[in-house]
Amino acid sequence: MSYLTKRLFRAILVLLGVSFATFMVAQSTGDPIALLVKANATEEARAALTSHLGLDQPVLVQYGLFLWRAIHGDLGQSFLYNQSVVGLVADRLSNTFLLALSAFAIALVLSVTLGVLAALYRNTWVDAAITAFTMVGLAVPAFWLGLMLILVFAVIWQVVPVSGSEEASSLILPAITLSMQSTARLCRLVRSGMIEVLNADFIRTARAKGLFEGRVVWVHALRNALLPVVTMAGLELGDLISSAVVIEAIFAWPGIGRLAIGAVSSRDFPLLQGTVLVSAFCFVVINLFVDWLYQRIDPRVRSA
Amino acid sequence: MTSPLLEVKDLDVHFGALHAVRAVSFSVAPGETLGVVGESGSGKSTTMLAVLGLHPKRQGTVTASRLEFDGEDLLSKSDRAMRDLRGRRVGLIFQDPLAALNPLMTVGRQIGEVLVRHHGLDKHASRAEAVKLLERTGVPDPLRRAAQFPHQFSGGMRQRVMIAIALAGRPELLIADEPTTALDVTVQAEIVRLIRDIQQASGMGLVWITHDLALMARVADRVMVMYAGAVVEEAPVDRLYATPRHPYTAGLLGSIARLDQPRGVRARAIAGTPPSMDQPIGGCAFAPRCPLRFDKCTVAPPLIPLGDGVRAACWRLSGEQA
Repeated sequence: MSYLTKRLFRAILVLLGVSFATFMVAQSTGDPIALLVKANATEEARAALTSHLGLDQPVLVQYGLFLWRAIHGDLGQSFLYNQSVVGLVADRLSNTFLLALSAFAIALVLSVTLGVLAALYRNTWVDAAITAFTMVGLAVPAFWLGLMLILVFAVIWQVVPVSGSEEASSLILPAITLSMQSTARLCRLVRSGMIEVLNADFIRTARAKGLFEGRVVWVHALRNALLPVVTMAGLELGDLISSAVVIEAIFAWPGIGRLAIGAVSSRDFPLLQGTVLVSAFCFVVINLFVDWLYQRIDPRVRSA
Repeated sequence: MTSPLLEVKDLDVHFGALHAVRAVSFSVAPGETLGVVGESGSGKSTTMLAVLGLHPKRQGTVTASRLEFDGEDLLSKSDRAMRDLRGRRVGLIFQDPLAALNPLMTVGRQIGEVLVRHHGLDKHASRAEAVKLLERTGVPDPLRRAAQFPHQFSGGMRQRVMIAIALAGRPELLIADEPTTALDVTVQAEIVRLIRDIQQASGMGLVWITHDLALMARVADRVMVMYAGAVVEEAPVDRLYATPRHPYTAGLLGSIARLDQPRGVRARAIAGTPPSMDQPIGGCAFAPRCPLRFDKCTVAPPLIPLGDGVRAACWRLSGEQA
């Protein structure tokens, strides 16, 4: 089996596991009927609704049915919105993707630039300032940072909207907020990777060839330093999609995270399963992409 | 005598408190091979890296009363001018070719970028030239090999790639830093032959760093023996092996296991270990391990000229023995 086939096989196993776990956890949180019907509803009405939703079947049968439909692209009907889950999720997913990918782009550009600078000027004030920035980035909770950014840029200076998604500039604050932690983590990884690689023998070779320092740093060193960063960045992108939940709530961003929160609080099982499964699916696809990318970058993996 | 290609006088290298190279002087003429021997940490590689300005400025301080390549002062050269020199007029080969090659770049590009940088070739032309260089260094199937990565090569083939990189600029001086140490014995012989053939064909000066005395006897014209960052003896190769003048050199030669030795006679190791380099060394650095030391050895001996190009730093040779 090739490297990628193995990864693909593993990805399918992960999705199965996730679907089963969410299904079981959701079932154990309580009875959705109690939330769906009025308090004074008759016993008959309750029973009718239960059987209509298929909740009277054994749990494993329910799961099997859910899985069968999911494979065919049907994640069921939302109890709450009375719409197809696939439609609801697809609608919101593009917004979450827009937010997460913007944050990801910011994180990549910032972390590589700052990480390389910190490594080149290590143990100077430049390095100290960048390290301090990453410490703050890691320590500050996203919800607090989001509120502070709203206060400064939307309320006091009024250069961007407070919340929503009506204008293109609405994306700026949530994307920056969301990117902060990833930027900090990746930046540290780039810095340590670069410091290690800059001491490598092949960097000495590059200098012995008389190459310009720019080529030594950005071509020879950076590509090698980025190997661990690529793996980490894949995880970060997955993390960004799940962290978006909180950010979406703060900035009233109509993404999948807010949909999931609503689904949890109203025990809308199909919608909850749908959002989690779709998120997991994205995560798995991203990781597959990273594996493929890694193989493209590192020839040693390709021939292994 | 022809004017030297590389001339170094009183070279000192400090890394903070560590005095790694101590007043080292030597010269290399075109077409000549200078062998540099000494145990690990004796400052052999550090000396050569310092000459080429390859120590990061913030880490090491390099001083010398004279440091000239082809009559040009290297100490006053700008960073840019040193980069023009390295890879073009001076080539370097390192000990471990796997670590010394970029794992993520095809060997063709790693050779070709020297040509792009120094000879103004474009990517396409540099690729074709890289294939020719691989062929010249004895890599079979060079066209296909140029597109491969270092991990796809054997140790000996990697060192051929390294040599191709060093030769790409058509250097006048080649510095080979233990080029065969990491290789199998059979491969070693091939690499040695390759480097010597290339030197004979091009007439370049060669500095060959090694701790392999048997190898040195075959490749060098002159040998410089280093101990604790300083030169203890320098002599034409036949003189050095016939009559080593410094006790350390004699100890080194005595420590070689020989097949023609009678059974039961063991190679003798030099007792003790080299001094720590981060403290000032009072007197002769070798004195604590020297079987011939006497009261004068508490003062550092100068290199004493002994005729026929032999120099050695030992008071026993000064004619004022106790």
